[in-house]
Amino acid sequence: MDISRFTRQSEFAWRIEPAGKMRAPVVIYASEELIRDMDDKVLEQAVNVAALPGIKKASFAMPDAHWGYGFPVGGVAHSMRTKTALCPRAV
Amino acid sequence: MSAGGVGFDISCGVRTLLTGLTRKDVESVKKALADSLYRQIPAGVGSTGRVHLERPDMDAMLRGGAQWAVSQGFGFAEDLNRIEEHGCMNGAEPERVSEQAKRRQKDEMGTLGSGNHYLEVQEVTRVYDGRIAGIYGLRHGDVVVTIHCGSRGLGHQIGADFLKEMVVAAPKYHLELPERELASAPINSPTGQKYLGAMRAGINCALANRQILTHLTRKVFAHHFPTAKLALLYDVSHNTCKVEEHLLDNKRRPLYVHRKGATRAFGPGHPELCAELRAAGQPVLIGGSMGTCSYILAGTTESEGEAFSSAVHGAGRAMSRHEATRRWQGRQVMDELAGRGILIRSPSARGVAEEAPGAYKDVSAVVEAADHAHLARMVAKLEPLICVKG
Repeated sequence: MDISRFTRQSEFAWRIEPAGKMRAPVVIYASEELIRDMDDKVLEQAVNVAALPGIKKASFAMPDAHWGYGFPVGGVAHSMRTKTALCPRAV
Repeated sequence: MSAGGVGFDISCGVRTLLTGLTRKDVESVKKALADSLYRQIPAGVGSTGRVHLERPDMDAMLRGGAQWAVSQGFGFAEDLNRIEEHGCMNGAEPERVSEQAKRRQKDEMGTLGSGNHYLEVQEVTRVYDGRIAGIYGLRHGDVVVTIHCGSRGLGHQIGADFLKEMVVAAPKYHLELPERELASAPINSPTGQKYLGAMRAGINCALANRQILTHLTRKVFAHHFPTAKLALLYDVSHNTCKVEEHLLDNKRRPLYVHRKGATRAFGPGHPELCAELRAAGQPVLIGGSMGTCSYILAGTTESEGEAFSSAVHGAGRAMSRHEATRRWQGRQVMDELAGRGILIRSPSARGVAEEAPGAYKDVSAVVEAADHAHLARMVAKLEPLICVKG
């Protein structure tokens, strides 16, 4: 994965601010080596998750994240009760 | 494999049992122990168990989870303190689970299934945090048993059923989805509520399944080691959606936290943890790939402020199953591991090749990153002695 798009929030956390349809940032937890090795698809999918209604804080990916069907495996998302979506792919 | 079933193993999770034995105890009967575990623990695609559930027992299981299993004689009441949700996910609605899903599960209770699911006998080879390891009952050289599996055919079918339903219902709810594969429904909508009820039943199915497998494992150990008790350290899932209170904009709010391939990791003092574990934080059980090491971590206080008390779940695949079978042969992988003293028992040579250690990322690097990022704290490292693989 190309890491130039990220802001390095801390040594082990990488962040992309919301843009376009995203409602929240993406935060990936990883060492530099792990994030460089991660499939580009992880970011693409985490960005899609960040566009789901009801998400607020961030769409997170864990250090073991990899491509999954729709939602990355190693992904954490949340939704607030009022206007939200619930996604079976995320389970 | 059904595309609809991929990533759909509701409440797939890990539990670890403390045997009180040492490697030396196990080494003398290792081969016989591996063979009896393989005989008693049904594993592989479509494997069936000895528990057959018709209605209304199926619905009772889906409502009661591991509590139901204990009431049927599988394991002990004290196990329940060491399982998420005290062994029973509230709000499960078996009537929301399709007949097809129940039919698929009828003969699959108490089975490991396939893929990366396994039962391992492991040795504690390193302790990173002596205080927490002490609270967890882990000492260097101890032998533990770890079970990794989920809700089998029922969970997959729930996923497939609701994906379809949510794709169809999305326009009705004016939901603009970034991608069709992310099919969603508003929580308060009929579809969202139905899914919640069914998914929670799926969680109970996984908890009951791991509880039955625990019972079978204890029977095998009792045969070889009559005094071994196999107390449950903890059972935690890594594919769930749960309502939890977390801090958001300086206010505690109930949130629907989705974890897909991520482990819940509550820090010390969390009210969900039983009294014995509360000072240490929740055990976070991380399965490695077949033949590599696994880790036990502990939830931290800082983790809540990061990703809502969540941590990693395993090594993560580095290549597709297809690519792995191109590179390795099952037999060759098994021989190589046997050379290192790790006995593999599996009904599928292809399955073994798919899960070859080289097909996964380095679990140690993944766990160290989780520790450095304060998602969870490293407590102990486990290395396999025996692996029964689906």
